[in-house]
Amino acid sequence: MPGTVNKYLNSLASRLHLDPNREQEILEELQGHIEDKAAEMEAAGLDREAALTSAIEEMGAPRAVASRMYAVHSPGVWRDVALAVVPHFLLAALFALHLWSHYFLVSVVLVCIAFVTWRNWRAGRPSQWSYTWMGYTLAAPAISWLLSLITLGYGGWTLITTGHLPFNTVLFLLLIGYVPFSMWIVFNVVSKIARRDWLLVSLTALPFPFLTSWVLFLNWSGGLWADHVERIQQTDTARAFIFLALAITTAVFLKVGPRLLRIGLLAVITSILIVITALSLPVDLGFVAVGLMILASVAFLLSPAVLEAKVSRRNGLQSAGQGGDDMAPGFSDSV
Amino acid sequence: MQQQELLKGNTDTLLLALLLGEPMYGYQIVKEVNLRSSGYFAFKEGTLYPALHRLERAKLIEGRWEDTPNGVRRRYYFITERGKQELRDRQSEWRRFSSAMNSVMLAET
Repeated sequence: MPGTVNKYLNSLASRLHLDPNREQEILEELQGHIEDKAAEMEAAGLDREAALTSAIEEMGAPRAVASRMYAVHSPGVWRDVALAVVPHFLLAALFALHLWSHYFLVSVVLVCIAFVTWRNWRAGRPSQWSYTWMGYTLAAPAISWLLSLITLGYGGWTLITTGHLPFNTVLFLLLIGYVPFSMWIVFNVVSKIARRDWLLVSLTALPFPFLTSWVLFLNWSGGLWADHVERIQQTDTARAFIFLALAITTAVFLKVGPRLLRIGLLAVITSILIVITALSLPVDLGFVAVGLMILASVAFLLSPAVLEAKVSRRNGLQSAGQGGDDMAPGFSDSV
Repeated sequence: MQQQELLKGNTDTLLLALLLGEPMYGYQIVKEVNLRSSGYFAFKEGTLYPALHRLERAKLIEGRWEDTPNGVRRRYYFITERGKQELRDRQSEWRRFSSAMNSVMLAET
């Protein structure tokens, strides 16, 4: 394939964020079009390189073409939507029915979610609905990583200031081993998802701020002791509503096509739900704390998308450094 | 510029009407539209393919890869039964629309 066409198609491929088979079909179809058109221009007397450049320019800027293709192909079918919202509904039901303190039931639900995720992911080509399932599967290592880090920090600080550990040395050593292990699991899965689309990482991580806030609230309330459970259950209605709202957000996310709309949806809904989370707590956090919580949650959820923009820019600079010209003069985003 | 605006709202109908005649691949469609409209309409490739894929997702057309005698693989688009029905609906709507437009716009001439 000539270098000019190759660069154009690579630039397009890096922006499509679709299923790899679908991407391959789109690229092959567009390549055929460019070559047909260039061949006709060559027959009319233009030299090969000029004909290809002209055919590519008429195809349109990679960003614009990719954005239109993404809007057409990214919306999920209703079956995907129905399956994607299931884990959010399960969590909403656990809170609505005050069942979260039944450890056996919660464990069964989490193991079932993890099993379904594993079945879908083991072939290496996860379905569109499975990212929310992966979110809850990852929640256990992600949140236990955070709690382990807090515990380690507390243990380390006590050791430095008092000269002895506040808990068992074996536990301390196990935690030191567990922190990088759980981080490795999360990082591995996230990087696999990110290879396809950073925005899917955001969808996967959507429940994290709310699960984390709940675990921290649980921790702050004194842990899962029986005499605390009823007090903690006072926030269950709000929690159930939040996970129900996450289910609806996921459904809308999967059905809308434009990328910016998806990013905006995640940012706005997360902000609203953080406010609801803060209002449901039996303590007055104040405007500044709630504002910081919103900022931290939205930044956390959208950071993968920002990182993607940086990666694209770096790739662009690299190809420019190699004499690449994937955005040839004459391109505009309005095709 | 005006042609592009008019084309924008009618791209799907034009594509369905073209494919009713015979299955075509993308580049063939661009040339055919240009030829039949004597150059009045010019499909931009960057909008043609998303439109074709959108119609395919709506099951109004179906894309199939076919090998041509010279060894090049091309994606031909076929109109489906649902696409034919959609085209009939759009054609009858177009007849009513153009008749109403003509009677208002061309009444004084």
